[in-house]
Amino acid sequence: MDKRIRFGRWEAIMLITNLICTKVFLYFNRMTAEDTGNAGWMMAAFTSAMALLFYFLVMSLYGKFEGMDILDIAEAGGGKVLRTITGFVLGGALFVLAAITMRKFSEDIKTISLPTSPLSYVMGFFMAGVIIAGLLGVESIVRHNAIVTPIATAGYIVILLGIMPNIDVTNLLPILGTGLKDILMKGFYRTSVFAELLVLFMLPPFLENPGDARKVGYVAITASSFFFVTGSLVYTLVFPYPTSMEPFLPVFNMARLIGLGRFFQRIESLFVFIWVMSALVYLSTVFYFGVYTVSKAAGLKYARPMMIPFAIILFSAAFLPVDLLSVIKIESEIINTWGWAVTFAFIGLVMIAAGAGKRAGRGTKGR
Amino acid sequence: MKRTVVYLRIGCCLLLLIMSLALSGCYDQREIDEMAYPLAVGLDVGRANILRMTLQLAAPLSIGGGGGGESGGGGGGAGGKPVSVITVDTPSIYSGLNMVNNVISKEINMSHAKVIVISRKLAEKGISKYIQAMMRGREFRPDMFIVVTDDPPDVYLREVSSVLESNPAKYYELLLGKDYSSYYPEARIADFHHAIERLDIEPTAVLSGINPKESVEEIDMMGKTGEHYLDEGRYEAGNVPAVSELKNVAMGTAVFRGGKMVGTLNGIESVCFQMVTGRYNHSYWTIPDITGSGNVIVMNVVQRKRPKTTVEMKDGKPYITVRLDLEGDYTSIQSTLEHEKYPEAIENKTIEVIRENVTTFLRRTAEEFDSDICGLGRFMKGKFLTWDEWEKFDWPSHYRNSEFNVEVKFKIRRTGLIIRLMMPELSAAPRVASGSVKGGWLCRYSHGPW
Repeated sequence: MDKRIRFGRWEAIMLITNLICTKVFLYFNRMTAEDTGNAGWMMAAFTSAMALLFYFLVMSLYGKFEGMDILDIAEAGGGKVLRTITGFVLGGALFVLAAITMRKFSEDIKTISLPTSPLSYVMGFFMAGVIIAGLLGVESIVRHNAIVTPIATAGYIVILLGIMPNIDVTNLLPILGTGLKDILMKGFYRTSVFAELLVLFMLPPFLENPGDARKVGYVAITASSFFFVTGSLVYTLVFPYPTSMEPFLPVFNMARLIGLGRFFQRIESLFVFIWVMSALVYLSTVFYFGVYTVSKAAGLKYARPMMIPFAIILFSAAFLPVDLLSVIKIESEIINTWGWAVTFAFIGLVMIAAGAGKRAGRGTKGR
Repeated sequence: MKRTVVYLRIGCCLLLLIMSLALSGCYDQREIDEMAYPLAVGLDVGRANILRMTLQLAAPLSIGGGGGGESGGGGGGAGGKPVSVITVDTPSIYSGLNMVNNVISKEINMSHAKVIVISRKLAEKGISKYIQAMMRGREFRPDMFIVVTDDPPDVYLREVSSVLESNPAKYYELLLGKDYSSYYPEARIADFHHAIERLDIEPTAVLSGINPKESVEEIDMMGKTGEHYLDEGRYEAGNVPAVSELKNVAMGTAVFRGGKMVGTLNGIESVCFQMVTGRYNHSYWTIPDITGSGNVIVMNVVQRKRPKTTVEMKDGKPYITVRLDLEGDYTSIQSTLEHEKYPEAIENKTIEVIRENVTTFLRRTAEEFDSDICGLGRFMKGKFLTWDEWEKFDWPSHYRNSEFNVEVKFKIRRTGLIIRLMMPELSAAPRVASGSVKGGWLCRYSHGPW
């Protein structure tokens, strides 16, 4: 693997924030409404707090392995077997994320912009972007991210501000939505929305200062939490419950409502622009790190030759769900329900195992 | 290595070229002059089928003459009517679009539709199923206006003529989205859709109609009111005493419960409706002079602050208090009294008139319509912690028993460009001597110091 590539803390923060926050454009706000009614913003706040706590716990185990990625840690603790298992689990998770998200993005584009184009045709453009990004490598992806994420953030904030005249504060009542139990229970497993944090555990070797990984995580989680909570809050203020469970693309539907006089209308075109930029970067990143992780786990020296074969597999895998509702179901009931098990529980277990292995004197062998 | 970079660059350029051609020229390419854009959609109960759908299509070449509206500009105009109307009987909206596509040469695109006009007959049967169809379709805009008319929409849309505005799209936006007339609410399809699904508010639509009067004789036949004036807000669309080339009149509000229309509000009730919801901007209020002379005082009344509403449950009945904070400017004083100098009596009279109107309006919504169009239930929701509790409470079943208390704060701020009128004979009312009226109003000739 080419570890001479280095990037700074800012690029890493933008990368992780974009990975986590892309779902705000897609479904996150509706999902919080489905889970807890008009108290979705509370659930988002609770979920964010839980994610910070989990991250803190995982990072407290990471102290002994500063500068190593999760595969190196696994190898340090459990040898090549643990490294391979870890690599395939994490690579598989990233691959599933990429396939489902690619299908979802393509379906969304087809619904709102290219209704008569075949899905494979729409997906083809994403594939082209993903393959080029994969071939250009991690540095291009990360630097591109550092440009795209602030633009997407600015666009998103414009939408939130533009919708302000449509808000109704009474939409937040009854204050606890569908109940405290839902906020806590569903808020717990919705920490899965931070599943993309697992990319962070592959980043340390690429960071200028490997010790920054910890800070990158905290800042990215905090920034993402801000967007989750404000996004959900504004969405609830604009779309009253139970109507808030209806929109297919919450932010798009919100942008459609913006009308500032007769001149500032149809702001959703801005949404499509920022959303597609953000989506392409998301897919490129997740796909790249998926292939990189699997390649490294398999002991391959270079990941690049794997890009096109894996892209073809990704393209085919994206067609596995039979329809859009199946994709939404997988996203909601599997990825966003059990994602925490991979990102926090599995990685935590690997670190515990590695710590134990290291103590037993076998740890540093793999390094 | 160098060669690889060159190949990569050439590849990227080729890909960009292919993408730009493919994205703009393949499956979803649409030429703007191959599309037909309806500006208004009319829905009525069908005779040959379930639904009678009327589309008012823009004729861009005729519109192009001026106006500078959304689709205006350029072209210079080819004369002729700016719109063309087509009516079909159809099982549903989208089947209707299929049928229209068989009639006209261009593909129908709804993305510029500004207004949906629904017949009263259909509105009373229920329109939820049609509203949800439009909310689901990506071409229909959520900010379309929603209008109910007593006339069949096919007739209404043929009669609508925008004499002062060459661009019909801009005409609809100016007419239905304006903030200087309070005699009808601003009703958008997205708000309507939300209100259908909510427990704490009911939907409303603009009431509009065709004014059939062709001459002033027809106004004469409406009958006289004697020496007493009839407030202009007492009219509803269709019976306004006006003769105009512009045939459609927007005046009043259509009240719904769920997706079904249950009644109408006239102009002044629509003003009260907007005052209670905080959407009132300004309008002229005509107040009878306190001397009982038949003279009136006209004021431009504006809402100073959003209303404060509280809802309390007592003995199983909602007690609703609405506090309105208004202010006004004199625009006409017909009597000889110096109301500019001593506005308190007029302020009190105005408070009385507004309170009476608003209370009557609110009682009508509860007792006659059983429909919380003002969304007063939103202020009850806060007393519950969870959605289940709120649903079980069943606000709509309580609203009809509501008791209303309207508190009005009103202050006259300005007198227009005249601070004191020196005309000797403004009316037949007897001149009032200085200090002879309770409250100490002065006659206009008092020349008293301010």
